[in-house]
Amino acid sequence: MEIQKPEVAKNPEIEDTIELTQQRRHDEVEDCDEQQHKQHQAEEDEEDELRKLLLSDIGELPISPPSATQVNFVSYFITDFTKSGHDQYIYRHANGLCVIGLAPTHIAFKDEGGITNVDFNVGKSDRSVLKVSGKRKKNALRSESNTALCKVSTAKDSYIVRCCVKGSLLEVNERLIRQPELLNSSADREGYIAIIMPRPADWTKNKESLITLEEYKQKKEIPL
Amino acid sequence: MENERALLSYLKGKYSTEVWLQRDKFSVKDALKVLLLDQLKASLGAESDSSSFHIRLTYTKASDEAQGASETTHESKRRKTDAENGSNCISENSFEKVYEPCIFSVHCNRMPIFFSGRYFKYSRNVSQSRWIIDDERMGEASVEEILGGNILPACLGDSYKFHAAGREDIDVRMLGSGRPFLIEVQNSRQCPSEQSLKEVEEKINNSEKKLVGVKDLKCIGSQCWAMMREGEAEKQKQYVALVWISRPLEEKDFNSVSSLKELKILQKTPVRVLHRRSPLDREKIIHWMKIEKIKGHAHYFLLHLCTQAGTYIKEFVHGDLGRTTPSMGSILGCRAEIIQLDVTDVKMGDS
Repeated sequence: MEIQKPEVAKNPEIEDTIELTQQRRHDEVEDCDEQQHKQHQAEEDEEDELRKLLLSDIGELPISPPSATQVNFVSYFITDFTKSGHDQYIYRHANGLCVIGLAPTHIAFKDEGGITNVDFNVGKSDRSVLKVSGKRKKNALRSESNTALCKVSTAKDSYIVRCCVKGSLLEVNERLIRQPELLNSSADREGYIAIIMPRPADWTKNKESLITLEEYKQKKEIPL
Repeated sequence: MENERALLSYLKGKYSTEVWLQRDKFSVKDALKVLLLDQLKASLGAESDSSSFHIRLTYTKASDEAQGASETTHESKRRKTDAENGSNCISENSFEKVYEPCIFSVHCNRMPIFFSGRYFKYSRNVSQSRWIIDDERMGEASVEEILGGNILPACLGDSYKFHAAGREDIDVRMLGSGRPFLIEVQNSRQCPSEQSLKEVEEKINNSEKKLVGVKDLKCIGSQCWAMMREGEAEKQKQYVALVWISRPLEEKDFNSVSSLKELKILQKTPVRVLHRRSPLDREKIIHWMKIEKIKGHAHYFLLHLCTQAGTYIKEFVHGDLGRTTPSMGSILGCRAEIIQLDVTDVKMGDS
């Protein structure tokens, strides 16, 4: 389809050229108008061609396309991590980075009112204060899989969320401090907890303790 | 150094009548150059001056034991005719007996020449530059190789380098005005004529697969870098994105979007590049936006937008886990995903 388009665009230009030759017999002033008209026409043609290219490429439009997370990340899960009911997800990007968060079956969501508070001041330091800088990720906290990330609290109880993955802690989602309800509404997107960069060797070892999306759904008896 | 001085005093003795030896700052290398220059000029039929063509003569010690001067003579030549280069070998005349002649080599090179133009990328499976991971190529071709691979033979050059004013992802098309680029050719043996450049353009534009297009291809001089810088950081870029939202499009959405002019957004380094870039908060400006309905599809629309250079468009649409704010989703109060992206204009200077 795209190969034909230049042909379509060329015809008006040829017509313009014929017009111009005929005009040469008339006044110079009229020639100038033709030049402007030709330029206008060329610009319009370019825009037409652009629109054709833009619209011709729209393929199938499914009712619900896969999300950016589903397309760019591979989902892993870990259940009952260090404690029963502590289920978390690990979304791993093609570039190796892992986004950590609470899986839908996490015990905190079962408490009435959901999660009301998130505190990153756990372990030896406040994770929300860390300043990682540069391409080499200086000052990133080197974490083990059971290093605490934060404490989430509900009306009833509080729960420790851990890294699950050994690596460098690049970022925690400090928006959760002021908007803990993000965990209740979209724990798998805006409510992510942290981003960790594992070393390739560490990831290979870590991966063995994680389960896939299918395995997770089966285990938790969630309809596929 | 001692050898150098000793050799110089010998030369002064031998060539005491020569004018060029009277100069103060004169090294053995200079002496060698003067002695060789006339012979080279004669045998090559050329002049010696500052030019883009260089001949380098290198003399190196045959072995570590031999004590002698090692000289390199670097000359510029403007070639007038093609002539055989006579071989030249200097045997050491130092103060220790040397048993082997030194090793002599000749290298010629020419300063690089540049071509400029604008390219178009019609395929969503072609990367801008050659991209290979674990011996496997990503995508089916690259803009760099299509352009460079066609220009290089026209120059009879050794190799090329590709520079572009900005870049787009492999799955993003480059349409509209095209993106400015430079091809730098090393050691070209001929400068292609306007006609051959036209032929290169046609060959690329009429190729069977039509992955890449090119226009305004021409040879360019030293102003090329200024031209490239123009296209980079300060300029605006225009895009069209195919967007999906989780609720049907409403009448008020058109206005809520087009009423936002010079919208400031804050983008944390996107997750997809966070592994190789600094974690920073980048403030960017969306100059204007416009929604275009798609007939028959209430959840999809075309988003036309003009943004500051360096804005991550995909992340502006889907929000990157809330790390780009505001985002298309937060503006419309729902979830938004980007299906496809096209670059429609890379503004340069007044254009």
